[in-house]
Amino acid sequence: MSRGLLLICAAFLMAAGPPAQPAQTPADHLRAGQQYQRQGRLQDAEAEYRKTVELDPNDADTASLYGAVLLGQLCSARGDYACAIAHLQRALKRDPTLAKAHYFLGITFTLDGQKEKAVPELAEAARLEPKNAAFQYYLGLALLDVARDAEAADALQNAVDLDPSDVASRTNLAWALINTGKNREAVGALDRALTLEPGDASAWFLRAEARRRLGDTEAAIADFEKSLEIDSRSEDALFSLGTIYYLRQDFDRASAYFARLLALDGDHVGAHYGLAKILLKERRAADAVPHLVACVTKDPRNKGAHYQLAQAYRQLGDADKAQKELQVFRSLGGDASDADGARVERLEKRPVRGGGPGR
Amino acid sequence: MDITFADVTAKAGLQTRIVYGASGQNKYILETTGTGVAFLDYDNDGWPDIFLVNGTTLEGFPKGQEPSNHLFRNRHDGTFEDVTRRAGLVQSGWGQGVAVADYDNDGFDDLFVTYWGQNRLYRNKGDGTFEDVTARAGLTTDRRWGTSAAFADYDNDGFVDLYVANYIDFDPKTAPLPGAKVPGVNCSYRGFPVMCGPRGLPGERDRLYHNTGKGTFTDVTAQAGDLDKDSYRGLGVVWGDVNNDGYPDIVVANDAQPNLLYVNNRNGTFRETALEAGIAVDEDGRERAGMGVDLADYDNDGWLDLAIANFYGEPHSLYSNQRNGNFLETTWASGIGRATMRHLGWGTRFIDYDNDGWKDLLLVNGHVYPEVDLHKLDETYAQPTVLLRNNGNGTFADVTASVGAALAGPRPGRGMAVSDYDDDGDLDVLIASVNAYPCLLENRGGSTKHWLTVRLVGRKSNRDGIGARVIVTAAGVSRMEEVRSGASYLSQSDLRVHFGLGETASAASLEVRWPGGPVDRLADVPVDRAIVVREGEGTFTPAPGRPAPPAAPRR
Repeated sequence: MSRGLLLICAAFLMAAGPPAQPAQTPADHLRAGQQYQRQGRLQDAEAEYRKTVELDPNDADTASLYGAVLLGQLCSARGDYACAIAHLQRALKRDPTLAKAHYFLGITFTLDGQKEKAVPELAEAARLEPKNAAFQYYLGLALLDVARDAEAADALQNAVDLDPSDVASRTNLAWALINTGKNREAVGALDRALTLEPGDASAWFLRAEARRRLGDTEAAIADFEKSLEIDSRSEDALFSLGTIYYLRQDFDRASAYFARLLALDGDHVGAHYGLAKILLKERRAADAVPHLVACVTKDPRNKGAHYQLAQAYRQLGDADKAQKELQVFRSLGGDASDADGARVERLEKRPVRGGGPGR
Repeated sequence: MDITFADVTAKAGLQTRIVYGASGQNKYILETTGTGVAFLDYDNDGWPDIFLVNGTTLEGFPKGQEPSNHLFRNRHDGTFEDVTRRAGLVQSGWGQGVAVADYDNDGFDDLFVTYWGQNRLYRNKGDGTFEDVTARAGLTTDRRWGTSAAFADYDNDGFVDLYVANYIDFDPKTAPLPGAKVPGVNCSYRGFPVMCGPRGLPGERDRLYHNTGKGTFTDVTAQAGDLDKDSYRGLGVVWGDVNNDGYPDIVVANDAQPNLLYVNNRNGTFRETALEAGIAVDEDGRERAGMGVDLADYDNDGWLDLAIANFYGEPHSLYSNQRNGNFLETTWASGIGRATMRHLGWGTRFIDYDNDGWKDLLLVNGHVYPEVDLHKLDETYAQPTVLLRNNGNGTFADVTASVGAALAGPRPGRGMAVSDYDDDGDLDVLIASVNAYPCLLENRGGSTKHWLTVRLVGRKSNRDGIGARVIVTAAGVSRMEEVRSGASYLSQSDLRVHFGLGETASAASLEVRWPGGPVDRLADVPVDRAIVVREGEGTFTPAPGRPAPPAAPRR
């Protein structure tokens, strides 16, 4: 269960009813469950909620309706997504206007990897309660997950407008803006986020990324370095710095960053690949080959590594091996299948996963 | 003296708007490719004239009001006269590219214009008029989307042959609309609906036509080596002898597919070697979106190097010829990568704009999606043209800001051609943009250094000497250029070859290697003038046009 979801559960319970009494009716079981949940006795709470549902199989009572929602929430929290989805959908069948049920269902779909299904649920929650910053925030994250970046930016902007103090909303907004080609706006959002929380490594990383895309390489390097200063194990920052210096033909610095990355993760394909390209530029094909072999061993469909292996073998005078690698390269096909994002460099890894308004 | 490019379009009388697709939003990819331009001396008066290709819109125009291609005659005073109607060149449609050559060796340059639809071959009758000989020449085709075209004599039989790049098998009746959810077809950009393609749309096979020497062409695409068998989406084509064997080879820039290099087997066939040669994909094995393309010896080592313009977010590519059949990508090492990452390139031309003896690189840019402005992205539809000055050490510097605001634009640029149209010793530039006036940029100050312009006249070789290699040696430094039809994007530059000679005021020696092997060597050629070299004569004559200035030392 994410930190955000736990916090939202807690917030929900803060508004719950009186202490538990001997339970007879769905309302009694609901109150008992809420009390247990406040005490952290989640198994007991779940049992009580389950009774509200069992006592009222037709969901005639409002208490059983809420019981189903809370049961779904707890099922989701312990990773039983089928249970959660069943109870939340049951509640929504009875009352489709339950914004929180849509919200929990959307988050459950996200946690269950059903990212496409999460979006309409969170969108409905946000439609029903447009002033709820958390709904807008998680809708934005869900849209990012399915690469609907422009819509994600709108939702996250709503979240920022509703809760200007929330850094995670701004940071994820910046991510969406970068992916929609609005890097200047992203830098603006991140400037504010960094004012609010200067120690947020992911915000520094994102601002670096936006500045890199704007062609401001020096500023990008400074921000990547700052990100690394805060989080010295940031593989993304190390890789980005290695790549930037590689493109600037500063192979010494690039090698140093890739080497640091390999020290953290000896199997990092990007680091092996970056080092190999540098070694090939330095006409050290024999040294490059082991790195490239590591790449294709870990990722046999890595077209770049096969292509570079062909160059390496050619440098070494081994035409047969070079030709073989080119054959493998050809067999991996073109990029045509990657139609939607083919012409856009999309930042795939979301930097901020938890947090959000109301945490 | 500082060098600037001045916008002289209006003064020159070129205010003919190029029409191409919609403004603001495009429905189909057909509306994105734009048009080309050409410099040609159609009346043999020694002064380059101008041909503009025009397009149309999906809605079309009332009869009689359709946009037409235009031919402008150089009046020798910096202005041009529209002679389109008189020349018999009124033609509307989805015009694309233009290539120039004297295909019938009658001494007058002819025009080949590509279309989405029927391409057209116009024979120059030598009296100021042209005739459409497409059908007679055997060039009638099914509807195709021809883009860049280029002539060269690949079998050295004395007649230029023709390569036509074809783009997409496009039919508006079946093409998906912006934002469509069609598996495998790209119909969005950064989350916004845009015209679909090119990814996911089927390419159309390029064509190689052999000139029979009898006024007709034969489609030899299959028999010449099964060319473009995968029907890649061709946008740019350039001929050049990349392996110095005396036979022209072919480079094709493909959109979001591997580029192609056809090495001439010297027996009427070609073999495709782009992947092995290192120009098919980028160093990470990814296909770039190739648009414009040019070949020139930018490092003055006697071997042709290659430049290809690509999409926004990809660097424009530079490849150094390694003299062994391979190219080394020098995009980042040269500085070109950093200078071009945020541009979407089309017109591409090596141009020694400052006559310092090193070929610089001119890149015309402009986005394919007008919607980027609508959604206020960082990237814009109109983009700056970029001039990269060759530092003479393998690197280039972006000098766009130093040559005046007119060159940079920004504009939704497409085709671009180069010529010393005012015969003052420096290279001028003509740019076509989408739904805009063309832009004629006069180079002012480029002729401060020394130069030589050479026009070839073939006898056994094709009349224009297309494919001939000219080597000028001055003060112990040799520089090489080839006479080239086509190249850049959809465009035709002057068929004369221009050499910047830097500080070298002394006479130069000149060697012409004609297609097929004959060589003419000329000594004591004075500089700072345009000359004509006729095959087999071993001498030169002053070119018609502006009289050569008295030779005087320059700084």
